[in-house]
Amino acid sequence: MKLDEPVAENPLLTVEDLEVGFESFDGLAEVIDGVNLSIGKGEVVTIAGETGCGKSVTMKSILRLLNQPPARVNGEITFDGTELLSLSDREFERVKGQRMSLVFQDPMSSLNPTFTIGEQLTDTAQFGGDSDTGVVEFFRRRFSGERDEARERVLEMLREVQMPDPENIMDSYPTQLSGGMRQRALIAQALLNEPDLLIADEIGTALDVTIHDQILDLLKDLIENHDLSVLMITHNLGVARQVSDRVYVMYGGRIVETAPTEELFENPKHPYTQGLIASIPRLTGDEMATGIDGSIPEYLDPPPGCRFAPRCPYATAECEEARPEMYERGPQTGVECVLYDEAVPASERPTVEETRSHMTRRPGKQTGGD
Amino acid sequence: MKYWQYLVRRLAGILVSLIGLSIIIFTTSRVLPGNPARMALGALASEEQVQALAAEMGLNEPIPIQYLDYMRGLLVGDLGTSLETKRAVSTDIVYYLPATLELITVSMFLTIVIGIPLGVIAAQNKDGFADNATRLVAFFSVSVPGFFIAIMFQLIFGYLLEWLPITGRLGSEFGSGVSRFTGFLLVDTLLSGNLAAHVDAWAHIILPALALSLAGIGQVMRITRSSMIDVKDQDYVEAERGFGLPSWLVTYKYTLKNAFIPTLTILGLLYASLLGNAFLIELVYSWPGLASYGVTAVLNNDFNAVVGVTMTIGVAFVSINFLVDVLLGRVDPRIRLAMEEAT
Repeated sequence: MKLDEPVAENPLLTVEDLEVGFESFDGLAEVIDGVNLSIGKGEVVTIAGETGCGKSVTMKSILRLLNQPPARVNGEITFDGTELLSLSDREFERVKGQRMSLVFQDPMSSLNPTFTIGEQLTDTAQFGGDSDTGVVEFFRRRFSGERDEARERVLEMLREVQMPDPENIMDSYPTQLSGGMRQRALIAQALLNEPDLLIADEIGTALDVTIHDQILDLLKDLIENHDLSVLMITHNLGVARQVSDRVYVMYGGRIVETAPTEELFENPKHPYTQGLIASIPRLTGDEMATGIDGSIPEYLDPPPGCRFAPRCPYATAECEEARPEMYERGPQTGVECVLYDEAVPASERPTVEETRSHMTRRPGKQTGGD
Repeated sequence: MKYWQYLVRRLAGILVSLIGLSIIIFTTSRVLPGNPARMALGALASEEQVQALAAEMGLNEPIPIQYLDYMRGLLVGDLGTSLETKRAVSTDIVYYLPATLELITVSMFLTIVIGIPLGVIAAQNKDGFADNATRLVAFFSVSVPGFFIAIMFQLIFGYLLEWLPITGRLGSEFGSGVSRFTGFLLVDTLLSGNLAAHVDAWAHIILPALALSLAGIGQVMRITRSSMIDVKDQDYVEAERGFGLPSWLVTYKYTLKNAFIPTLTILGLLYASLLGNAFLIELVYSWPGLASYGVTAVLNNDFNAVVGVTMTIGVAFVSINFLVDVLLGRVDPRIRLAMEEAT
């Protein structure tokens, strides 16, 4: 059985059959190959997967941040009833600026180093989403009372993201701020125009663990207070578990599994998901998997069938021939793997432990890498 | 350390390098073959007269003593007497410097207002028509020598089209109507209330200034283009665009300010090369400036004038680079802050 309907109830954003290719001298690299995903109103959804599996490309194609060409984007992206890909740049800018916002991956490089925090954030508060503003109108509004109101709004938002000493921060340059403070400033900037949908790319990953935790807690509060729908992108399953309602696991430019967060962690189905969970570093236990053997597929010449097949311990000839269907395995739960065909007896489906036993391991009681 | 403290330290360093420059140029001018006293008096003067003048000019003293005497004079603005013009070198410099400064300032202005916008446009249309067209112009302007362009301009705009005058700073008909206030004709004509002369001064300066600035325009254009392209790919620019700010604001405020940092450094260096290139341009356009005065001095072994001109150019050069440092600190807070955090 195929998942034809969007998984989310009351979806704000749906992505259907998204395909993104990149033209290169060696041919067309088919990076995103038929991605379906949806985010319900008020839902926090994570796309998880290892680096290079297409998470950021998916995000960038939703936000129209890819240069076309070399990129080629096909499919259907619907935001609150509006088909985004058919909009003109100008119409899209309006929808994006007013209703969507994003928090970029690296807080160190996402603030402009030559302007004060106050200058950047106040411009965003005043002109963000008004990309039609002309030069004359800009200067008229810039030097009117509206500027002070915008400044107040920025200060209020900085307080809300628990920025220490916001008055002072307004006059500081990004280099004078710590990583955590920059991340807070970026979150504040993203929320200034009261978006409905927030897209967060690897939020907090560049920070150390304790600050990372604080930022995620802050984010949870903000999601609740501002009634946000969120699309998170992360390679860190821990983040997915901490914040999100539902998780999409992405591999090689395809969604291989989706499930509500609890279900995904308690009962992972796809061998890839199982491998990811098996390789989360643990402080206890005898043995720890170091990771899934092999590496992500070559997009110029991807495996013809299941893209995970070359690394999958359970792969059969069937896997290498055709792309498996997405099998529905419960509410909001689907997995793209032949092992979950109804014809396959449940006993033949692998468990996390079984997958772990197929992976390279090293003795436990070590703190592994990432 | 505060940034101004750093700048004070820079100033002290500048002073040291100027003293070094003065020692080198003074010594060189004194040890060169040829007797300045003989040059001054001419071939017909008797040996006694030459000896007497040499003694009067202190040429018989050891060079370090001569140097100290010179420096003592320098402190009160006395640069000695020119053997050629028989006037105080300081008077000559005050007379000739404004013409050169005016030429260079207008060239600098043209370099900035033409080079930077063209660089931005080229970056916006990377590999498009505008980019390729400006690239071609840049290659041409950098590789063709300035004096050749100067002569071509004279031929085309002066001789063939007869649009613009080709020599001097001002038409002779305005000579009496403009009094000298600053030596900058563009300013003096206005202060004299003579608008026709002001327009004429522009007509005279535009060709030499353009010929002088072309190479710089090419460089500034290319530097601005490549740093704009670099900055455009930065996360913060992508983020600013992502927040739906007007794209012209992202380009001209948030991208150009960062891209301007390397351009500013280049502008400081360009200023020095303009001082050097100005000589040929002044020659071609019979522009009564410091460069042609200095070259005449060198050819005639007019040693006081040589030292005076060299020192003036040295001061101008270090002042501009000091100004660039001040501006860099203003444009790029990272430079200022790094300095303040360093100690």
